[in-house]
Amino acid sequence: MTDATRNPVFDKYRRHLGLISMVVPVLAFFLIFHYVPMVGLVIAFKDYVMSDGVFGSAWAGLDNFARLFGSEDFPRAVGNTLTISILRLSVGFFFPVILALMLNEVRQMGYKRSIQTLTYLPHFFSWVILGGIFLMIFGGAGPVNAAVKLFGGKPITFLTNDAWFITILIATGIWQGAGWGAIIYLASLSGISPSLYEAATIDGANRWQQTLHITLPCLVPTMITLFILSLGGILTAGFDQIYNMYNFQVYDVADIVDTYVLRRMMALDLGLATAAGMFKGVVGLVLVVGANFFAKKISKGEQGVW
Amino acid sequence: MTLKEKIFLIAVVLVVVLTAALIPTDPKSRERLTQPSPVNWDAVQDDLAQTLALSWQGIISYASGKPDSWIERNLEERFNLELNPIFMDGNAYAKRRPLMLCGGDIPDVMWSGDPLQVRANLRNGFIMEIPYEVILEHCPTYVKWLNTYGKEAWLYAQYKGKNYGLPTVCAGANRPRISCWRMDWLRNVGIDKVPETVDEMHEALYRFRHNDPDGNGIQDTYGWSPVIHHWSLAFVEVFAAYGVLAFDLMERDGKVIWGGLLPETKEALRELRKWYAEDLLNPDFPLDTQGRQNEIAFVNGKVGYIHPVDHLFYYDETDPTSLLSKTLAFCPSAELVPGPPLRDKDGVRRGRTWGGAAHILQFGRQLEQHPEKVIRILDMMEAIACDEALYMEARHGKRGLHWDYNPETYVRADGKKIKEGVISLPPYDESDRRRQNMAELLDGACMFYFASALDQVYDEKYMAAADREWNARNKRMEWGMMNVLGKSDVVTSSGRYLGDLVNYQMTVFIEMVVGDRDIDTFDDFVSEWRRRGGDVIIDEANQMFEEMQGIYEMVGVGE
Repeated sequence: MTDATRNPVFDKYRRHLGLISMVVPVLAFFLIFHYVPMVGLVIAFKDYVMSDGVFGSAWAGLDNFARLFGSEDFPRAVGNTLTISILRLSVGFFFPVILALMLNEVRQMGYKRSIQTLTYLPHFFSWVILGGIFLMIFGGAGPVNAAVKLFGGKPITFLTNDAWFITILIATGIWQGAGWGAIIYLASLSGISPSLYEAATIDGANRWQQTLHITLPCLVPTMITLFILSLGGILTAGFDQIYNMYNFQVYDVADIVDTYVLRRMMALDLGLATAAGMFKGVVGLVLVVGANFFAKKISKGEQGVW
Repeated sequence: MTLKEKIFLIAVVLVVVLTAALIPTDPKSRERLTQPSPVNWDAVQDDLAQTLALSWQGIISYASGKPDSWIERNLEERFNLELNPIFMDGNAYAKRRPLMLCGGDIPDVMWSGDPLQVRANLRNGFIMEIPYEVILEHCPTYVKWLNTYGKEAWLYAQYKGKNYGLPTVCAGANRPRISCWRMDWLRNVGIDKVPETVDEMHEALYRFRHNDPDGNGIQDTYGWSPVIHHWSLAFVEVFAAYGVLAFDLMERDGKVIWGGLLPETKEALRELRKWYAEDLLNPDFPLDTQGRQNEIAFVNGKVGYIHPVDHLFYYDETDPTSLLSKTLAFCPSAELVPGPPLRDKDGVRRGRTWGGAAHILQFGRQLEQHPEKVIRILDMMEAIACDEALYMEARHGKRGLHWDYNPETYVRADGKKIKEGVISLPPYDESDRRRQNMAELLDGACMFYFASALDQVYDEKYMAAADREWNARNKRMEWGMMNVLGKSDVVTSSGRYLGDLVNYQMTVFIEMVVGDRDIDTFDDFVSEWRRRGGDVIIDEANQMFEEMQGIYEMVGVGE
C-alpha cells in the first residue's frame, strides 16, 4: 500500500478520483455501445450462419467483400452515396455559416429569436412526414408545377428526373438542416471577444470589413472541426430522407449504401451487410484521419480536432 | 505519432487484412445445414396428456393481435398446447424479425409468405427438415386438399429434394384479381357498359380525362392511377389482356420463359405509353412507391378506375371502411361496379392469380429435440381440416359470441343493414376488436390455421348466395393465369438476382410508359435483363420445371 501511494501516476489518479468517476459512465457508454459491438465486424469475414453465432460460423476470408464489389449494385451505391455527400458538403456546408452570420447581425432580439426558431424547427420533423409533403409539393399535380403551368411552362418532373431529384434532395436537406447547424456557429460567434470589434471600429473598419477580417477568421476553427467530423459521414448520404423520397425512376442515382445494406439485412444476408457497413466505417475513418492530418499540416499544427 | 508507431500501425492493419484474405473458405460449412434430419420420425411418440409449449410467429395480418384470445385458448385446450403467439405486421416482419432471429430468438412455428424467406431461414440454420412422408401420414385430408387446389406449394418448401415446411393453400386465390369502375362516370361520358377489352378501356379512360365525367366544367380528372409499389400489380390487368404476366415465369412451347421479355409485353407497353402521352394516367403515379395514391385518387373522384378491388365487401355501404362508403363520402352520386378481367385478342377474359398455393409454415430447428411438437401441430392441422365445428372456431371464433349465421338480409332496429351470411356480433363487428381477437371474416389469412378441405363446405354452407353469385360472375377460376412455378423465387438463385432484376424491370417499364425511354429499345432491355442474372434464373426455372413432376410424384400428385 505504501508502495502504491508513492507511485506518482497512481497518486495523480487518486487526487482526481472525483473527476474520473464522472467520466466513467461516458466511457462505459462508449465501451458497451460502440466498442464491444465492433467485435461483430468479424461477421464480414465469415460465412455467417445465424444459428451458429458469430464465433461458430466458418471463416470466409474476403469472400463477402469479393461478392460486394463483384455485384452490380454495391459499386453503384457507393458512387451515388459519394456524389450526394460531396454535393451536400460542398453546397450545404456554408449555409449554416451564412445563416449564423446573418442572424448575428440582427439587432432586434425578438426578431432574431423567432427567425432562429423558425429555421431550426424543420430539424425536428421526421422525413416520413417531410418526404410526403415534398412529394406533394413537387409532384406533377403539386403547387410548384401549377405555378409553372400558370406561366405557360411545361410541367417539370422534379421527382423523377435524375438531376432534378438530386437538386431537390440537396435543397430540402439544406432547408431542414441549416438552422440547426447554425446553432453551433452562433455559439462560437458569441465567444468572440468584443474588444476585437472595438479595436476594428477605432481603426475605421465598417461592418463588412469586420465580418471579413474578424468574424470569419474566428469561425474557421469551428468550421474545420465540423468539416472533419462530417467527412467521417461521407458514406452516409441521409438514409431517412432518401428512403422516404425516392422512386423507381431515380433508383440509378438514389440507391445509396444504406438502402443497399437494409435490403441485404432484410434478406438475412448479414455477411454482406456487415462487409458493406465495415467498408463504410473504414472509409470514414481514413477520411477523418486524413483530413485532420491535412488541417494540421496546412495550419502548421494550430487547427485540427486532435 | 512517431514514425515507428506509424509503421507499427500500418503493419497491424496489413497483417489483419492478409490474415483475413488467407483464411481458407470452407465450402462444406453450409452442407451440414441440409443434412438429413437427425429425427427418427418412426420412433416419435406424441402423448396428448403432455402439455406442449410453442412460440408461434403467425401471418403478418394481425399486428394488433392480443395473446390469450378465445381462438388461441380453444386450440390450446383442445390440443393441450401452450401457445405463445408473436404478432407482426409486414414492416416488423422485414425489419424486426431479422434482429430477433440474430439474437437467437427463433420461433417454434414460423410463417413465411415467400419461398425466398424459407431459403434464407434454411441458410441460417433456423428451420428443420420435415419429410413429406411424415406430413402425408399425419395430415392425409390436409394434403389431399393441398394437392387439389395448390400443388405448386410443395415447391415452396423444398430445397435440393428435401422438404422444409408445411405448405398452405388458399383456394380463393385461384380466382383472378379484378377492378372497379365508376358506373356513373361511364354513363356521363356516354358509355353504358363496363369496358371489356383494352380498346374499350382506352376509350373509357380517354373520356374520363377529356369529357369531364364529373361535370364540374374543369379538366381535373384522370382515367387511372396505376399502382407500382408491388410488381404483382403493376399494369397487370393490361399485360394479362395481352396474354402475358410481365413479372412472372410463364410456359411457352414446353419451355419456361420470363413474361417481361416477350414481344406481347412490348406491345402492351406501347399501348400504355400512348395512354400516358394522351394524359389519361395520373402523372404522379411513379411517385406512389407506397401504393396509397391509387385508392386516394379514386375515393376523391380524381380517377374513375381502380385495380385491384376483388371482394364484394368493398361494395358494402353499411361498412364505413368499405371502398364504396369512402367514395360516397366525397362523391355522393358515385356508383361503383366490378370490372372483371379484360378480354384478350381471342375474346377470352384473362387475369393474374396467385394460385391456390399460398404460404409456408416452418418449424424451428430447436424442435429437432422435441419432434412431438411438430407431430402435435400436424395433427391439429388435420383435425381442423376434418372437423367442421373446430374449423369454424379456428376461422371465426365462437358461434354466438364472435359470429353467427344470418340466413337473410334485413334492416335492424337502429337502421343498420345486416347482410346475409356469416356476420360478426357486437362488439366484434368493430374491425379493430375483431382483429385483436383474430376472429376475422376474411378467408385465407388466419393466425393459427390455414385453409383446408372445409373451405369448400364453407363456401356452400356459410357463404351468402350474393357473394357466391358475385364470384361466379366476376372472378371465375378459369380466367386465371398464374406463374408456371407458382412463385418465381422458388428457383435457387432468386435470392441473388431476382429482387434487383424486378426493380430494374420496373424502372425500365415506368420510364417507357412515361416516355423517358424509347419503347424501341426494348431489345436492349431484354439483353441487359438476361445479362444481369436473368439467364441464370430462366435456366434454373427450366430445370425446376422438369423436376416438378418428380416432386409431385413424391407427394402423390403425379399426373
